[in-house]
Parts: sequence; C-alpha cells; structure tokens
Amino acid sequence: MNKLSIKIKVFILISFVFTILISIYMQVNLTGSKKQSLQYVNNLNVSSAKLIHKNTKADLYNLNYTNVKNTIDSFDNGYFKDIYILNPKGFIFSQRESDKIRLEKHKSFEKFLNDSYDKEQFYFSPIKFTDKTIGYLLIEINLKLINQTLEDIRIKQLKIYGVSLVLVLIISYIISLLLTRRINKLVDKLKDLKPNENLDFEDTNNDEFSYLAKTIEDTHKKVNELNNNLEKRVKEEVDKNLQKDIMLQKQSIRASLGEMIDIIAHQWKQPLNVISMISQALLFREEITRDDAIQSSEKIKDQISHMVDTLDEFRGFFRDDKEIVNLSLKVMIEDTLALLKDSIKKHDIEVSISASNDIKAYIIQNEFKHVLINLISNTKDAFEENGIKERKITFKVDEDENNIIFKYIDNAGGIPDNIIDNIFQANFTTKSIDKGTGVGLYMSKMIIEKINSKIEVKNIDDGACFTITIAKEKDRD
Amino acid sequence: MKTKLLFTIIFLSLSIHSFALDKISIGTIDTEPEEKIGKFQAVAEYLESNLNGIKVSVEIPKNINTAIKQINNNKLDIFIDSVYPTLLVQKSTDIQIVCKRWKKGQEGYKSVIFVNANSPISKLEELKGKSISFEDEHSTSGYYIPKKDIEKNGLKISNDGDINSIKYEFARSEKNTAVWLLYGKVDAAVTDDKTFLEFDKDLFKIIHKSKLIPRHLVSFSKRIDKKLQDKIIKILYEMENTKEGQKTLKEFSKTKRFSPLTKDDLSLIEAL
Repeated sequence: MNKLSIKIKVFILISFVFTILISIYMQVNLTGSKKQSLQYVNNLNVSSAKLIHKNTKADLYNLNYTNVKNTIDSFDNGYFKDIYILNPKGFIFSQRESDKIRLEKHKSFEKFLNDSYDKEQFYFSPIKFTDKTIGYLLIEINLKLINQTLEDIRIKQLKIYGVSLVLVLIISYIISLLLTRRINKLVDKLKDLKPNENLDFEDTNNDEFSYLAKTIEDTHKKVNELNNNLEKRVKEEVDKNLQKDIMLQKQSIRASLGEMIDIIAHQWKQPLNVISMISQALLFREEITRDDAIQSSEKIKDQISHMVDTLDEFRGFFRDDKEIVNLSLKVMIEDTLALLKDSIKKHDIEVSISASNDIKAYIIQNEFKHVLINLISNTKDAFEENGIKERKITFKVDEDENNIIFKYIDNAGGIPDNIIDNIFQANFTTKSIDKGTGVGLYMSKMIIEKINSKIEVKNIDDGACFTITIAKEKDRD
Repeated sequence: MKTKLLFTIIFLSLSIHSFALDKISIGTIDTEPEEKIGKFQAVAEYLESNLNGIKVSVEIPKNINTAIKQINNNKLDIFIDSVYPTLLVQKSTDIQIVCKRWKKGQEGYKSVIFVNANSPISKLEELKGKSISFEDEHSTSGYYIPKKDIEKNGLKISNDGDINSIKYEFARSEKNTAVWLLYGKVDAAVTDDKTFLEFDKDLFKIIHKSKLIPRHLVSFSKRIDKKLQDKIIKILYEMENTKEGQKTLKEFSKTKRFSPLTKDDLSLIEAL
C-alpha cells in the first residue's frame, strides 16, 4: 500500500466511498423495487379479480359456461397461472387453462374452508348474489413469473449497479486525476529537475498545497545554494589538497635532494681532499718538473673522474622518469644501495639481500628507489637515536601466485605502538625538527599505491618490517 | 318437397344465362363478420386467380334475413353454410345447392341427445314431460336435426305447459347445453358428436344419435350460369390437388376438400 502513488490511493479511496454509497443506494432501491413490484402485482391481481368477479357473476348465476369461460379466458395478465370458477360446493365450473367440462372439486377448496390454503399461491373470492354464495373465484398466482419478474428486476438493478460501478471508477479516476494533478505536476517537475535548476512551479491557488509547493521551492533554492557553496568548498578543499600534495612532493624531493647532496658531498669529500693534498704538495715543492705536473694532473683527473662518476650515478636518480617498467627488484635494491654505499658504510650497517634476479615487478624506477632511500634513511636515524650497535638491514623478495612480496626489515628497535598506525599520514614525524619533515612515508605510500600496490608496517622482535605487496601484471588494474 | 327440390336443382342446373358476369361474391352468415372475412378472402382470391377476369369479393351477412336480401339483390352469389341456414335461405331465394365442404376436415357430423350418466332416462321416448337444452334456434346439429328426430318419435317440444311436451331452453352455446345438464337445470341436452367427445365421457350418456349431416353446403345463386358453375365447381374440386389450393383450403378453417353431394346427403336434405 505504501508503494502506491497518491493518485492511486485517492482513486481507491473515492471508488471505495462511492461504491459503498451506491451499494447502499442499490440495496435500498432493490428492496423498494421488490416491494413496489409485489405491491403492483398484488394490486393487479386484486383489481383483475374484482373485474372477473363482476363479469362472471351473472353468467355463473345463469350457468352460462361459455360466457364465464370467455371471461376468464380473456384475463391473462401474466401473473395468473390459472383462473377457476367454482360452484358453491367447490366443484370446478370453469377453468381458464382447460376446456374440459367436468364434475371435480378443486384440491384446495377444503383447505380454503379451513383457512389453511397457501395464500401466496391462491386467491379465493366468494361470488355472491343477494347474500347467497353462488360460487367462488379462485386465482392461482404464477409465483414462478413473479419470482422471475423480481429476478429480472434484480438482474436489471445489478446491471445498473455494474454500469454505475464502471462510471464510479471512471469518475473516481477523473476526480483523483484532478485532485492529484497539482501534486503530480510538482512531482514531475521535481523528477525532471536538474541540479542548480529552478523549480519554476506556477500555481495561482492559495491553499495548503500552494504553501507546500512554495516551501519545497524555497527549500530547493536553499539546497541549490548550499550545493553550489558545497561544490565551491569541495573544489577549494580539493585544490588545497592538491596544493598540499604538490607541496609535500616538493618537500619530499627537497628532503631527498638534501640527502643526496649530503651523500654526494660526502663522496666528493675524499677526492676533493686528495686534490687538495696534491695541490698542497705542489705548493710545497721548490721545483715542479714536467713529470710532476703530469703526475699530479693525472691524479687530479682520476679524482675528478671519480667525482663525475658519482654525479652520473645521482643524476639518473633525479631524472623525472615516470614510466612503469618491469624491473628486477634485486637489481633495484643493489642500485639503491650503490647510491648509499658510503652512508651505509659510515653508519656501519650490515645489509643482506635475499632475492632472485628473476623476480621482477612493474614499478617506476626512481620513485621506488626514493621509497627505499626513505626507508633506509629512517632506519639510519633510528639506529642513531636508539644507539644500536649491531646494525642490520635485510631485503627479502618473494612471490606467490598473485603478488610479489617485498620486505624491508631492520633491527632499529621498531616503531612505538602508539604511533605505528599513523606513520603513513602526511606531516607525521617523530624526528627532531632538524631531521624530519613528516613527508617521507606519506610520499612512499602514495608512490606505492600509484602502482596499485600497498605498503604495510609491523614491529618484529627488535625492529620493524615494511611489507610492499605489488600485484603481478595479470592482476594489475 | 323432395320432388320440388329435385326439380329446382335440375332446372337451375340447366338454366343458361345469356350475360357474362365480371364480378361475383362469396360468403356465409356470421354474427362476427370480421373473423370470417379473412378466411373467405383466401378462397375468393383463389377463385379470382383461376376464373380469368372475374373478380371475387367476400360478403358476410350477420343473419339469415340479410343473407336472403343480399342473394336476392345479386350481392351474394356463392353461399357456403351449414345445412339448416342453407335450407332457410333456400326457402326465400332460388339458390342451388351444388356440393359440400369438408369444414375442419370433417365430411359431416351427427347430432347427439344425451343425459347425465346417472339419469334414469335411456331413450328418446322417456323425455316425455322432461326438459331439454338446445344450442340456439339456428343450429343444425344443436336444434334443427334433434328437434326433427324427437318429433319423428311422436314427441312434442313445447313450452306451453303441456305435461306431455318436452320443455326446452336455448343455452346459446354447445357447451352450455352440457353444463346445464350437469348442474341439473335440464334433463337432457343436445350437441354434435364432435363436441360431445370433448366432454368427460363418465359424466354423460347418449340416448340418440342422428344420421350423418354434411358439415357445410355450397350453393350458387341463379346469377351464375351453368358454364360458370361447372368452372367454379371444377376449381373447388381441384383445390385439394394443387399446392396453392391446399394452402387456401387450410386457411379456410382447415377445409379438407369440396366434394359432390352423395345420395345419402340428398336424401337427408330432402327429408328436412
């Protein structure tokens, strides 16, 4: 019922009310018609009986069978099944439905004398002349016809009832249409209404519905305004987030750049010292021979060559290459460690790799390296902060049917339980202001998710274990 | 009487009229002409269609006097009625009885005189000093024939108070006679044998039955010459043999056929 439209509900309600009213009216009418018909038949019978009585009296007195017979034969109003004229002793003098002359008592005559005859079926009337009964008029009522007539009336009434019901349904439908026209119009308007479009519901009436429509229209306008504001705000927020991401990315790059520059500076320190020493040595010589110059020059060239090599290594890292390529993760780990070799050595970290060259993953090379550098950098800081002496970092690469499982494990003391769930959030850091920016792990997570992979962390016995799950090619989106 | 009738018949049959008729009429006596006109119209049309150029109309006089006048004034040429009216009309006109009509499929009927089943009366002679109901004074079987038969047995029918006479009343319908008898108004009643069959056989007993009386007689006025007579009679006799004729006969009160008068018919008519 709740799923029905208002129009249908109104239609059902009006139809129901009308049907009840018509039913009551028809019932009253049918009863009235039945009474009227019975009264009519009764009146007809009584008046016919009086006429027969009058017309047969003299002929019965004179025993004029033919005239009596002609008289009763002429009375056929349909409701008389038969007409009898009986003699004073109840013998049939004449019968409408029979030409037979006979000497036979009517079967109901004795009952008539005892007043026990069927009064619905028979009408008895004594025929008198000067107070002497000279015979009886007996009319046998055609009950079947009367019942049939009543049945006909009933059927006629039912037909009228049926037609009335159809009319009621039609009228109810029209009324329901008229009553719900404005509602439907409003609903149609609302259905077709597009965002930021005005309702434009024109209604000249001034009733409750107009008030409702006006309220809906006003509310719609307000919602539109709110929507517009909301869109604006969402856009602003999205822009803000974008800006934030860009900023974070810049921060991340800056942090990576700083770290790389540190590494480069560290790696250049040795050749620069060597070059400095060569130059110092040349300064302290009283006489520089051609050979000395050539020798020093060669040494300086070697150091410069070493520095150029270092730069070449790092230049690749900073190349803005976003192409996803299928690469061996072991090679990736080794390349990254090569960049950080001096730093790792300086911090006395033992690195082990458990991976096969055959396990390849679709990654963005530099970004993945960035993630590894970030992880190693965090571990280095943790080693220092926690005063870990035997420092170990382990890389494990495995695969199952669907994924490549990359694990980075350290023994740097692990991540406190109260912050482990937040470490991938932007601007979250546990480091001192001079070391941490809070963007490393957030950017790492973004980089990993960008290649449809995921990064998780959990604490193990004496450290942390980061797991990067990379979908194999067939499962990639 | 017999000789006179025969002479009349022979004379009329031999008469030759020198003028040709272009219009003739046919009819019977009836107090309600409207009903009879329809039935006679069918025969009139049939005759007209077979008589080549002679128009045939219907005339239904309401009583015998009117019938006599119409015949004598050349307004009724073919008179068809039962025996008694025919004989009454014949007395005052010069119509000639030429054949008989089997009305309602019957060649003729008999007049019956009957009494209540439990009546001690068993023969006509015992009606002496009793009462009887006839149908009406113009009825052949209901009055004329039984009256003649009673009188032949030496009894007198009279309401003059003679205790030896049979008192009579006209019941005005064939069934009334039986009802009067049944309810004790009279001691005997009269009707025809066909009507009697409609009564409950246990109620009455017959004490006399007449000879067979032709149902209806066909008579021609003197206007119809011998040649035309023969032609009309031939048409009437042939009716039962044609489809159209049969249809007309059926409409004409279910007449079975027209046929010549038999020797017995002539004897009966002469005796009346």
